[in-house]
Amino acid sequence: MAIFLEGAVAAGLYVPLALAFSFSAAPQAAFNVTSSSVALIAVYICMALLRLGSSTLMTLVLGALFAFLLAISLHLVVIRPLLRRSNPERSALLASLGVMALTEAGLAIGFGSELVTLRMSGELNSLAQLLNRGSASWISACLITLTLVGFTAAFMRWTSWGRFFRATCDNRGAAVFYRLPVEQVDVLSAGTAGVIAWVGVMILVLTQAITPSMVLNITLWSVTGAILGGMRNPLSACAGGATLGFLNSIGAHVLPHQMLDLFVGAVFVAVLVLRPHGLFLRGERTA
Amino acid sequence: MVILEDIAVLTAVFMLAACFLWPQVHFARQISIMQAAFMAIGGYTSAFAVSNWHWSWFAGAALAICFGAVAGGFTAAATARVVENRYALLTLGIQLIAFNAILISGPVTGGPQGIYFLPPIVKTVVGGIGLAAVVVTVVAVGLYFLLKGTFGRNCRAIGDDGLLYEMTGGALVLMKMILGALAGAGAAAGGALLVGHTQVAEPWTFTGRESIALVAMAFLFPGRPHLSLTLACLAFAGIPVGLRQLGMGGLNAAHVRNGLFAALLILAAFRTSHLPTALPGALASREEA
Repeated sequence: MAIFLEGAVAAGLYVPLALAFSFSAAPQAAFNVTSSSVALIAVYICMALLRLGSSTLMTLVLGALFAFLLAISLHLVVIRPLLRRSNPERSALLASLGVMALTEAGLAIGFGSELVTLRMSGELNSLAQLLNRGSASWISACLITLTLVGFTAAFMRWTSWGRFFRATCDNRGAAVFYRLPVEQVDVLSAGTAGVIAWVGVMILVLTQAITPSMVLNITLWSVTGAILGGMRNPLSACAGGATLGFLNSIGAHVLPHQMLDLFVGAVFVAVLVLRPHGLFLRGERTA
Repeated sequence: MVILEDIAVLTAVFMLAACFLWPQVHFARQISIMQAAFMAIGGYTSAFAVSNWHWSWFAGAALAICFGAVAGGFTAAATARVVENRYALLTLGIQLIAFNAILISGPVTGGPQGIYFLPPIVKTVVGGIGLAAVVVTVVAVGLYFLLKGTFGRNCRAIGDDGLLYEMTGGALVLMKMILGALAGAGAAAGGALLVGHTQVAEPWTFTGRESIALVAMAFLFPGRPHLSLTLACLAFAGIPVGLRQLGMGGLNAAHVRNGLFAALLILAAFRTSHLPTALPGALASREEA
């Protein structure tokens, strides 16, 4: 039972990250990992706002808005021009790795050395206590996870943009051929991915200290969750994130604490080599 | 003179890592973001051999190069069928695994503190500069002649069309393994040189950001690697030293350097995909126009 509850809490972190990666990568059919960079920058901006005396609610609203706008800006300036060129998958991956390294360097210079740990601000204590207090931790984690999954399922099932999104994920070339608004779908999904990743990193910052160099780890967690479930479908990615959360909680009982990141990395490498299209999806898209 | 020695040796270190990554990236089409992990293998192997077995640095470096070549060759061969972008993420994962493995393997690697008080490779500054000059020359000239000969022709063949190369009887996986082994051996030699120069092996010098910067260097100059990579490595080594001389803190100087190379990687992404083709997105916009 304890493993299950801990898995639920861990899933509250991994599901948003995996969902965010799937939202940005699936329609573009490219490994676009900018959402974790966007989320980390937005979280640091939130912390700076809180230090300047902004209220918690205002900070959360501004943080989400900032993440949305930054994700869209990055997509329009960096990723979108690359998607129109030859070999967009490789170019988008390289550019997003560059964005990731630039984010790490920029945050380390702007907010002090990476060795200076950024801890949660006092204003967020009440929220953190609510998340971390006994049974409330797994209840809040389950609520966050279910809200995100429900939002995603409803968006994809009942809205026209959700149907465009599904069509683009399924076959981008066919979606363009039938004149679906593919580029608008890209923009919308990039912005949504930024906000969802921001939710994930906010959960992370409420439970542990973060540093600029964690952008690599956050990226790895998000890609692992999405690849585990299958990044083509956001709901599969959610399932992958939840699976990773439960694997993590099992690993925490079996392995020493220092080996958890190593364990996640090993899961990632194993899935990428043995079952690259994910546990819950069949076959690769060939178009 | 000490600053010159620093710049010269660091240039040689990054030359070793970047120049041998270049053929793997451009011919084997394997974007390896784990050069820093190979550097760590080389650095820690030589440091362990020098401090525990009391070997000379050169013997330790030779062992490090062997370990690096084996690790690089094995990784490249085991993942030869993984497509380019997944390979990049795969190596990023292995890089993080290696970094965490160093941190938790305290008895061998010294954990987060690392291995300290190693003896210097050469005792004089002029000797250090000379060693670096020899390494840079050997790497640049060696790479030039390596790519000129039969091996180079095979490399270009797999770079042009790996499938065709395999269909005409070429051993694609073997070529990828050799290129991976070269990349691993070069990075391990670089790591050993770095550890020998700084006389300390610590994990924070072998993180993912160094790997990303090395990939940036490999992608910046798709055409002529010999001279341009030497200049890039000189810049990579010289920028933090120069900034420190101007009064900037050591960590911030390294962050400025890493940020600059990250920006260059974004530019390289645009440069490597400069040909607009009839991809669906572009096609649709043209039709609409």
